[in-house]
Amino acid sequence: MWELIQGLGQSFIETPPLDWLKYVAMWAIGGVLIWLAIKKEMEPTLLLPMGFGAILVNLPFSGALNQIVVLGGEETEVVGAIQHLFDIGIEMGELLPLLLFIGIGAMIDFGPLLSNPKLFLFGAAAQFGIFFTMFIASFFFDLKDAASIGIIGAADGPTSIYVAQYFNSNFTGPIMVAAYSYMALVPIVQPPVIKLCTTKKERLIRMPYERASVSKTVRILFPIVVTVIAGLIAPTSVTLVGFLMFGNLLRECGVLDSLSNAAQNILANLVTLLLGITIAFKMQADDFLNWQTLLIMGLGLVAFVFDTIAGVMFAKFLNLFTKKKINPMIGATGISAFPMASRVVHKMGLEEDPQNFLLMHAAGANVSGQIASVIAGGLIIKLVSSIG
Amino acid sequence: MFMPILPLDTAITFTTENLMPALRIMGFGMLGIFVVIGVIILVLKLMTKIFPPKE
Repeated sequence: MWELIQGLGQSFIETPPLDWLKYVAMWAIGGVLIWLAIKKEMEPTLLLPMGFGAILVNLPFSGALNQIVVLGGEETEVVGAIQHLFDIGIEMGELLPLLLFIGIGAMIDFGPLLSNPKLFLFGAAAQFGIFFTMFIASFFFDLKDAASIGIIGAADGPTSIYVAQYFNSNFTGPIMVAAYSYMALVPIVQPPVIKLCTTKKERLIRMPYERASVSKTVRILFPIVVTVIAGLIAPTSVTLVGFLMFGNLLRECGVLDSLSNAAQNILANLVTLLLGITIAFKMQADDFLNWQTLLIMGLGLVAFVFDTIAGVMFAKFLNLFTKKKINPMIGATGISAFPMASRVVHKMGLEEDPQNFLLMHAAGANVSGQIASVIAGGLIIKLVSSIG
Repeated sequence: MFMPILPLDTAITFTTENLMPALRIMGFGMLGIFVVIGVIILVLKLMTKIFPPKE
């Protein structure tokens, strides 16, 4: 017993005061994330496990991380659970984010997009924030880290993890915190930006929804065709796109309902649970407490703002050539934060005119953002690897 | 110059050496997305023509 107390005392003594300060700061950050998840309901499925994980990995000599211990006079490495989960789930082949894509693909109904394929263009335009932020970040970081930071603008957690981990970024922790925080903050970030870029007259544009039905064959072929096209033009994106589309194929094929349900619920929940706590491995004090973290949080905001601006401006640009005018607010839903962005725009439309129902158009553009962001992730990997 | 993990008291460094590659990635990246999405739209329209919904 006395030896145990001595051992405990020793771990207190062996931890320098500055390290204690860092640990306490990380506990506070973990606490804030848990508070945001519970009290403000900001992406609770991810922020709560991340917050708890941040506390877990920032305890002195935490058993959740690999530790060197002296056993029988010999130094031995004892494997920590969180570090091991990170090694097998994210470090080796980015497995967890990819598995999550199957669940996301199974959840998404591409119907509104298939009945109006033009909406795909907004998904493409709204990825501008990724590249613009990468450009700005390149003034402060090397290209690989800048690309990992830019991809916060994908507004898609698994893509951000995948790209950051692919480039072995030192900033995966802050990138994840920024990505999920801003995704949760879409209802606060987007409306003022949209209002700034549009006139009241433009926000009042009505877009009657003409539901064009799509055949089951097209619905089934869609995920296969998208995978093939993305794979042929941007081969590096094929893992990301492929897993997303595989999930969607499970949903649309009509003969694998039990698998589709499992992917949407059990798989997605299980992976999300593990992903949150696993990514906390990258939230160790030494990696997290630096000025770069603050800069990354700022750049994340830049990414979301410029995604929104690009989407809105692109819609206004299209209006110069089209007879049927598009409500430019639809452009803002091209970011991948689904279904938050479409709800925000729908609500804004109703605030301007209680008879202006934009939800279906917004949902179409929003799911196109999911595909476009994944393609952007693949492209950025390819381009940085070859140009950078 | 890039410095990987900086302690709290280290300043952020500013560099323009990545300016041109970053601009090229931005240009090619946006072009690439529009090309991929453009092809998907065309194929989708074609598929809808070949496999129209049953009345």
